[in-house]
Amino acid sequence: MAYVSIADRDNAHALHDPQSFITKYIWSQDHKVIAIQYTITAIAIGLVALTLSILMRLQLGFPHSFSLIAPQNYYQFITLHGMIMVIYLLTALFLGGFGNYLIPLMCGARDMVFPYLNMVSYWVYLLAVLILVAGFFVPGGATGAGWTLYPPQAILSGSPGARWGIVCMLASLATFIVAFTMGGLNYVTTVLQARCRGMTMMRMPLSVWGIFMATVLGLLAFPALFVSAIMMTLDCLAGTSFFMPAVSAMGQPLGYNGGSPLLFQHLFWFFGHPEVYIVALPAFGIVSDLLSTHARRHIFGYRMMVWAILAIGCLSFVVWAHHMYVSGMNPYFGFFFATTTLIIAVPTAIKVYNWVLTLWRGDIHLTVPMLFAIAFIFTFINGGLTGLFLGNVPVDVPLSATYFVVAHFHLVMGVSPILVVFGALYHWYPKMTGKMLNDTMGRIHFWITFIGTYMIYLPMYYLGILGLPRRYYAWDESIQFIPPSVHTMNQWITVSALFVAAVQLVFLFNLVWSLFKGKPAGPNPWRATTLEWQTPDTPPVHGNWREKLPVVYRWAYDYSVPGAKEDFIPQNVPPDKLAPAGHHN
Amino acid sequence: MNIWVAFGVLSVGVIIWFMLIRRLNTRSWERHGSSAHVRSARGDIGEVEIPPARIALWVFLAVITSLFGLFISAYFIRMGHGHGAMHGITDWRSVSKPPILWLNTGMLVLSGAAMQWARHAVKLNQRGRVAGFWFAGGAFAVLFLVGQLIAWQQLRDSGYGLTSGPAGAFFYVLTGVHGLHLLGGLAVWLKTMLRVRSREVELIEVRLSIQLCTVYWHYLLLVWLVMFALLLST
Repeated sequence: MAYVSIADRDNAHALHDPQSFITKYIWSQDHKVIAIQYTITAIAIGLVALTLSILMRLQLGFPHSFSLIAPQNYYQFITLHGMIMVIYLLTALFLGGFGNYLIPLMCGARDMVFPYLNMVSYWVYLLAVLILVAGFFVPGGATGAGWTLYPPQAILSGSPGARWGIVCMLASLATFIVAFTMGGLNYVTTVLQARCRGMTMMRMPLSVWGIFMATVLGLLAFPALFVSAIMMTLDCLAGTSFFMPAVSAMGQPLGYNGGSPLLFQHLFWFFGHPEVYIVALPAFGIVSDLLSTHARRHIFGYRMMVWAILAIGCLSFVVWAHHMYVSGMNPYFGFFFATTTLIIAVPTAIKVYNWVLTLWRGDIHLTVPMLFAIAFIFTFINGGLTGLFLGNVPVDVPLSATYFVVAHFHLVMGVSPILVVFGALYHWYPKMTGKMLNDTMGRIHFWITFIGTYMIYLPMYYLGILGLPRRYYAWDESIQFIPPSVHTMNQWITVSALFVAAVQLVFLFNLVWSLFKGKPAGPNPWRATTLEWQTPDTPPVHGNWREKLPVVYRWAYDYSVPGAKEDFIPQNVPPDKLAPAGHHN
Repeated sequence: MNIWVAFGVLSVGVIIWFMLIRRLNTRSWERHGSSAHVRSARGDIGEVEIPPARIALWVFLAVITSLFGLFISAYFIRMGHGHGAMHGITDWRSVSKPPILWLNTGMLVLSGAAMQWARHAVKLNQRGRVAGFWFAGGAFAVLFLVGQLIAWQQLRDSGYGLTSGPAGAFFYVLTGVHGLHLLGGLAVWLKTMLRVRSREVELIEVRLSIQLCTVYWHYLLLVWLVMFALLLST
């Protein structure tokens, strides 16, 4: 059976425009609308997580001043803050939001290959978010087991939400995984099958590469979380003993016997470590495009960047137990996982060098997206280098469960990707809405966020080296080794966090204000080469490309080509439209 | 042993993934080594051999491989663990396997075979045979599921409930998750059945659904055989 390639279905397969408001904006199958739905939902639930972090900081900076934050609330806040930020905000925003928006536009497709599945993916994601939020309102409240949900304490009566809170959390995670799988099948298949004519894999922008590889990781790693969610739910509700060892509560032996908490940790981190890269790889990809566009220079070592993404993806599956050095697993594993952890630093370092070399002798425009991209490099180096400390068993053992770890993972997988999210929103908002974001507000947002972040996390490294244990509700005088300066520093961190949180409101205001009052952006305000900026309409209409799909003649990074009329050559400009000039790929 | 199972699973995942990545230098609008390749080089209509739904199915099979691989890996780890496992004492108590499982396996084999015949009949454009075999394929699958439920009942009646011990609990979970996947497949089977019966749909239009559904069925049979061997041997 002859099958007509998607890239060749021009007029014959033109899409039918949705007519009513509901099919256009609510039950929409258009990837751009679904992307914006994902983005808004992720930001909304992310604000909940931000609020929770502020409540935690208030407790830590000014203990005993806020009677509404009881110890069990503190643990609920920790748990929900972590889970929301990692999964419901970052994963959903990068893959559901940017993945949905950018893959078809950057690959020159009309839409995802399965638009209906794509729509269902969003609504199931929303359901997952609602189940998660419902956890706050069930008897006993949300779970307070920590975002890692380790058994046995996650389902023992001493933990907050041990009965229904944890069930809501597990149900929500399982639902999220179903939603992600539906979206993920779409992203992978669209990248493989729906690229326009001329768009070889090795001409794809790195954003698409990062999102593609992160999706592959997600598809293979999320089943581990799914497996552990199912088995833990059964332990909790049906009384099986997959993870629960023989244990007594309140002096009474419970019915559990022989389960393995370590098994849960292995399953959780078999998902959990690739999850770090599910968040990081799209950030790597997007930041490469931001740097190249705003430095008016081709990305340095494109092929190396692609192979580094692939190498990081493969290696991320064999480092999981470096989260478990103190778990009581066989110590020989520690040697193996410390080695793989150091190996994964090599392709990551290659990427960092290439970003810096991209900037070198570039025509750097310090626009707001560029500021965020450069801030990402700084922050990623700071966070990443401390990972080398923690990746080694003898250094990790004393630092484990201190604030050093808190500072490390926040900088490397919290703040760094979020800086890219901000940069990307400032960069692509003009394409999404046709309006520029306000520059002054953007700069205020950037500088306070960037400097504030360091005011929060650099002191935490110091606190960690002092030995300040994490996950504590308060440090009483009974803990002898903690000097009074720690309390002063905690107040400093809390005040800084308040400023950083407040300035995010400026950003949100900017998003809404610019929608109405922003400067018109025009089709290509950043003078970028990639296909999404070459659409005939801004914002792109349903079907993206009117009658004719674009044809690609070059890679995504033809900036400042010697001899060319302008300092950028879009991917879809044919060679015969150019003066004889440099040729790439 | 545990860690090797985990690595085995990982390698399978990586191999399937590599088969996708093999397409790194491919062009989605061309078929390599065919006349279409030459024609599209001339600018004529291009063709690709693989429709998106087929790629999506294979990606989904990679996801399922990861899922069941991790379940099986957890099975081994839990088997080697237990109160006092260090001293050779474990709470792992093998469960008696209901003999009906053999019959169920036969049903699933017949189900896959019938679908394969339906797939073959599509090629020959024999509508009546397609409908017959397709119906038989689904019916045998339903019988398999009913048989699995009977196996659950027999197991429970012989004193191995969900909470009787880890071996029993794993039996219910593994067969349950496998059954749910088959149930999802039956939804697609039903939709295809209705289209085969409809006079308005040409046989060529359901060909892809039949092909992909058959691949999925064979795959679930493979998963079941691996799991059945695992359950029998432990």
